[in-house]
Amino acid sequence: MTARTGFSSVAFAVAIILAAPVVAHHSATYFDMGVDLVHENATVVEFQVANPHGILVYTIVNDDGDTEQWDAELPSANFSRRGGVVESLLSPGDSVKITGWPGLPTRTRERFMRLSRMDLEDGSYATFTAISAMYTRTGEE
Amino acid sequence: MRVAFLPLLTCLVASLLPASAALAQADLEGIWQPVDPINAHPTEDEFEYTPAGRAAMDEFSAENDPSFHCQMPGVPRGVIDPYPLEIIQQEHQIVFLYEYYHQVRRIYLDGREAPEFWPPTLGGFSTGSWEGETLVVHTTKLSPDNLMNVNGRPFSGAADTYVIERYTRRGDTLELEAVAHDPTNYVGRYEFGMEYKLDPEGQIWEYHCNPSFGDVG
Repeated sequence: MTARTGFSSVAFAVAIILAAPVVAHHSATYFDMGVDLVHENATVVEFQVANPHGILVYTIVNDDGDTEQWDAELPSANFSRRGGVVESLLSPGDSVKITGWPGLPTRTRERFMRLSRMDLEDGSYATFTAISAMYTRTGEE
Repeated sequence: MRVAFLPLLTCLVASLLPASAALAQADLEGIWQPVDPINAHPTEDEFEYTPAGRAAMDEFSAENDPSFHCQMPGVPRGVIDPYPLEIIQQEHQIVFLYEYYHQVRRIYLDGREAPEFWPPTLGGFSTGSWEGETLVVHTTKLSPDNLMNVNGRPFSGAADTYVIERYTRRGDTLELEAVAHDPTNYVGRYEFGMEYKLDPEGQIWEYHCNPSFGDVG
């Protein structure tokens, strides 16, 4: 039986506590930047590179077998495109692994995160900080 | 005899120049890339809120963040941002062209003052002068529809608010030291600043903002 994947059991591993002060960027105002949330086998619904922030809408199947839709915020279009992250990287239906910082319950809507990394099917990946993006093709590490 | 006249003539000509003539003391022109903008503002223990400032900070939410509605940051918030800045120097003004929200700031060097009719605006009214090789920018007429920084620190835009920026070029580094005065929200000075690096290959991109993509909650 194919295992249904949704929330990884290690999704909530505590990441390195960021040394940057809380006021570092407004990401810290809305997201828990001390936690890595990982969604394996996410399915892309929509991917848009935009200002002030891009958006990756995707679905996952949770541990109960239900489909959940999540939104992941990207840096601005200007940062994303400078780092090679463009809309043509993803299409609806693509499978992608998502890593990011979950929204703080009192600050953002549910099922919302700030993207820190996305791993594409072809092995390429993109990493993100609050103010940058970097796309790496397979073999260019 | 002829030689003695030269210094005298030089002094005479110099004395006839307006005191506020924009004889640039430094070349600040070019495209500058910000260095470590994330840490440009003080930490919470490096300044003091007034009770009103603390209350405003505690009430801040995404709905109050004008940048999510594609409002340009202005001053003081937009003095620090992570995007490149282009500086153009003219005789009567220095123009700051920010990539972020296409902000344009004119720093008047010709001695003019903010007109009485000038309303409070996001960018305010900026005048500049040289202290040696440091450009000193004084901005007033600031808007209450603004923030101190990206994390929601308040800014009152009251009539007694103003911001002083000091830009000093050292080689290919541009140092910015700024002080915001907002007695409504802060006790004493609110100091911030960062460095820029000259980027001869840099390019200012368009920053088109779509408020449909500004929602965080």
